[in-house]
Amino acid sequence: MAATLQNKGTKPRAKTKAAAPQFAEVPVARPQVEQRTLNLPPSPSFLLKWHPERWGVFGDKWLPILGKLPAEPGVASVNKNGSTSLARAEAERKGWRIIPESAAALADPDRTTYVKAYQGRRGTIHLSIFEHPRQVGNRVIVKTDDEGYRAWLSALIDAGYIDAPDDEVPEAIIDGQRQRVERAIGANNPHRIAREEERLEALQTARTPGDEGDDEPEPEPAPTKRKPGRPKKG
Amino acid sequence: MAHHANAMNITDLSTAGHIRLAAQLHQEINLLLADRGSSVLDHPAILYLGDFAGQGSDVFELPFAGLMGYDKMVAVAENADAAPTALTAASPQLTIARQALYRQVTGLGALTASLDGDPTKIEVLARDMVAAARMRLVEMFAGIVDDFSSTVGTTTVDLSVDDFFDAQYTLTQASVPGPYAAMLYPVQVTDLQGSIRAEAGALQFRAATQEMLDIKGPDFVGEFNGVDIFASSDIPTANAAADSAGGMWGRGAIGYGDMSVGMIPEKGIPAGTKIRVGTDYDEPGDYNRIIGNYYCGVVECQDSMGVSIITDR
Repeated sequence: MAATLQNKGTKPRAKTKAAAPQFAEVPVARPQVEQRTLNLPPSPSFLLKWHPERWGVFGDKWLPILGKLPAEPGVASVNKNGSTSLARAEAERKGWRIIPESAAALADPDRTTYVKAYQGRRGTIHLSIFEHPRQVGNRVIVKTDDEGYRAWLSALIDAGYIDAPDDEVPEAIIDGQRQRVERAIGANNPHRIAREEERLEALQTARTPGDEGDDEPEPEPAPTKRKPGRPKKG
Repeated sequence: MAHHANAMNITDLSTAGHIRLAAQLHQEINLLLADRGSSVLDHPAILYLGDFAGQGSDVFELPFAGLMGYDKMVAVAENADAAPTALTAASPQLTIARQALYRQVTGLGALTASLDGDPTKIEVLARDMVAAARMRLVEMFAGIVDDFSSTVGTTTVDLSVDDFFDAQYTLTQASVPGPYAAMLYPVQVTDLQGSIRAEAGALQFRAATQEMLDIKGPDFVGEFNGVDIFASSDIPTANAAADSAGGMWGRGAIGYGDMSVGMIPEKGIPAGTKIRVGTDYDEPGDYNRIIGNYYCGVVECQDSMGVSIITDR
């Protein structure tokens, strides 16, 4: 107490810096129920794969319908440790081609894989980079980046990861659609006939990858050369 | 009688706080909503490949031979040698892996249990392991119905009766024997039901058509055109989650194998299953541990015997 009195009035005490950290901060420990975790069931990481027979029309273009190879032990030859080496070999033997994860760079140069992981309430959730989860009330809605996904599929074909479809594959699908139109006509359902015919037209007019001419605008007619000595028109 | 302000409210809840519980537990435990349907596992279209315990590996090649009429005889001239025909064979590979569920029950948790079927009771958890194993197997199957190279449906377009017929035609054209089963995402099922409602002609008068529209629980949702249909929320997404990838297949397209595990002395194996359920007690932590183990694997046996149904999710 005496010391305090002596100090009083003799010398102004230097202000201590309020911001000077004395203790290191750690993340706030919130109860699990208050953490913002994704409310979807856990899902394993995966590889995407392509098969020459799996094609469909996305918008106005024939594009591949990729399959998934989930890295789940016990599923489709994935081994006990989650290694997919045997599963990949098995898939390739059945005609599939594995899309390497590095092909994600075609969509985003900074990405090394097309899989992204989120912390979920019951475990890790793996989605593709084209899937964007949103929490709406108690529900989770996964929105798809359709344009980005289609552009990436086209880029996979351009980069040679996927071959252009054999002519027979779209033709077989179109033929099947013709039969659906016939069935709709047989059922005499005008609404269904219109729907199936519309779909048939979409299949018939869709561009096939490799038809480079379709991607490029029609070249403008070359201007006719004016003969020397003649006046300009107009 | 009018209420007197100075009267002692001996029956009022706030004044009787010491002789009332803050809350009382209802005497019945109900289940949280979940997809618990697993009867697809018992459908004859799913091939049980056998018990692979004690066979020296966790990877198995499944031999499929082109016999019993696979190769037809050919006409050969009387004086000519017949050309040898090589046997066609395939051998998809099945890997068996461990699937498990592990729970801990603290001493206090167990001591405060008061109801039948309390989730801290070991017997209840042991029964739960059986359901957990079956649902895991359903989830594993759902992961391979997208593996068929044949597909029907249109991306971002609802599943229709025509898509369903297309799938059936694909199997019929490939000479796939029945019975057929289809496993669909619940939204695909309701899309199909919606499409059936709009059907005209002979189809609308079939008893199965009416039955298909009746409300049912999860799992088996009905039979349509001779195909048993199962709904599962485990059906994976396709086309960057724009679609669901269900499937239809005939017997032999997909199958599973498992491994029996030996009995353990104190608890044993729940009757009729191959799931090993074990318990032990942690003295320092004062909790019981219970773990269920099941060793199984699923495989696509013959690609041409199934078709993936890829439609709007």
